[in-house]
Amino acid sequence: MLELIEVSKSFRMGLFGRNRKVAVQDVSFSIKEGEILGLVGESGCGKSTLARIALKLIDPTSGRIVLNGTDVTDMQEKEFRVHRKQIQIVFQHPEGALDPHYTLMASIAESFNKLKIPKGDRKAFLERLADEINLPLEILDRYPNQVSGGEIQRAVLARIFAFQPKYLILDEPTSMLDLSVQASILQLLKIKAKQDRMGMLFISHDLEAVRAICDHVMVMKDGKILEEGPVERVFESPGTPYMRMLISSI
Amino acid sequence: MMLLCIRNLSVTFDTLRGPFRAIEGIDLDLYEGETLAIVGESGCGKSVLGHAIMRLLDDIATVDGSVKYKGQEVYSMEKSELLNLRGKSISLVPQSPSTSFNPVLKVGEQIKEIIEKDRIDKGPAAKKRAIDFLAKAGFSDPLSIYNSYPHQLSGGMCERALIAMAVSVEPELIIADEPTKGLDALSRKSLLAMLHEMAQGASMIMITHDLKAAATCRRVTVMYSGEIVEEGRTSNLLNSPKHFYTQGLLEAQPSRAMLPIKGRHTLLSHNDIGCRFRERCDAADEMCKNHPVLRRRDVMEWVRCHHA
Repeated sequence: MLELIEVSKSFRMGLFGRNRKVAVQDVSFSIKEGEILGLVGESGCGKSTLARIALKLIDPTSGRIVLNGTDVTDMQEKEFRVHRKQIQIVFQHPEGALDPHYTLMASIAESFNKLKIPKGDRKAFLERLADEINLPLEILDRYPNQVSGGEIQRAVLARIFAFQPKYLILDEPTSMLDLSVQASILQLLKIKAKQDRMGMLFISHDLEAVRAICDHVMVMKDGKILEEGPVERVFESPGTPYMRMLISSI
Repeated sequence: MMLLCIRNLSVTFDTLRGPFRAIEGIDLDLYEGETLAIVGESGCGKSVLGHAIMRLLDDIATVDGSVKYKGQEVYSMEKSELLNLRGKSISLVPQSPSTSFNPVLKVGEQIKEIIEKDRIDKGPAAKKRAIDFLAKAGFSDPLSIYNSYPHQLSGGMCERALIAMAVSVEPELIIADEPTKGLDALSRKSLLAMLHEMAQGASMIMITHDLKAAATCRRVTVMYSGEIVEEGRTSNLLNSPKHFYTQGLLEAQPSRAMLPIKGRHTLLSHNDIGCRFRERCDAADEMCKNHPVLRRRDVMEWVRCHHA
């Protein structure tokens, strides 16, 4: 289980950093294995900051991050590196996620060195990954500018799945994709969560996508969690006027 | 009265791999005060169509066919006529709001520049007009937005400012290219309401892949692989689509079955392969090896499919 306990984050702003902007305030949640937790809210409400804290890309101002029972909040990067494989992130803009000079296959295969996969087994491993993300091998031979955003996003997922992470943070993974491509990625994530017991934090402002694939959902506004609960309950009978307003905008 | 009449419009780009036809045989009519949504996947040619209407592709592509604006052929206009057409008659709200403004000029000054260019107002009056339109675009403090640089505004705010810029010259036709891309649900809803309110009296073509945004227009045209595959009144088309591609798009929505359309969207630009959607269509048969024509099924209802 990946837990964030009463996490807050504020940034120094303005001349000499005299002003403080609170981005996240006393947020607690846990991502369980095999569960997709949705996080919804307007742009600028602190969703992405929270994702970066969960990954330890930025340190919280206060609060704890607990990964499978181990407090990793104050761990140095070197010490945390062994845990990093367990938590991976997918960003909103697929075109920025891969090196434009590498073919999709080369980008995926880069992870094989880190995973220390023997040279002889690499082809079979790659074929298994390509099959998993439903991308033909001839497309993996192309460069990022020769394929669609959805195909890059699949290649990104293949590289991530190679590490067999336990937790996945998805920061608006489908908002720049076409409807049909979005549907195929959402289906893939749903299957992966159930089959491989992967825990996911699905950050999105697409409420319909959240409703379709998440088990639980949190509603965030101005850095605070306003409401949390099973997805059907929150959508059927929202407990806050803000969530009611969000639902009415679908 | 008919505002825009497009006949057999094709746009061909010269690429390293040879000529590539981005759109082909487009026929489209738009009447005064009408709102039309053009929907389709990335790469289907919808933005190229929007740019071709304003004759913005002259230097980079070969354009064939006819685009008539109020009866006058756009592709035989002189440069001065064209400059009058762009802005005052047809205004474009471009895609990617944050890169559409000049990054080193204040947002308000860029709006003022457009107002002065179209000789609507000058000096302080033009500034006042720019601020008024920023206020209409929903900014509570329009003066501070006027004095902001583009990087100081969020994507949604830039989009609003771009819309304010486009409508500040009171155009007859607004072409909005993906106005809701990347916006959250609340911003999308208020932006669409604002866009329709500000565009009142004018005609609008909304290029989008967002079916919810398309639903706010009166008529919808669906494009696939460079050609129109279906067209109709919004409520009819979204409730009972006839083309298998439109049906696939609707079923791919998370609120419906969330079923992806099989296969991948390939950029095909020749008719000898028959129906361009054939490879992805469950109903495809021998007949689909012949390229279907866009035929009229009913009043204001057109479809390009042998089986519809």
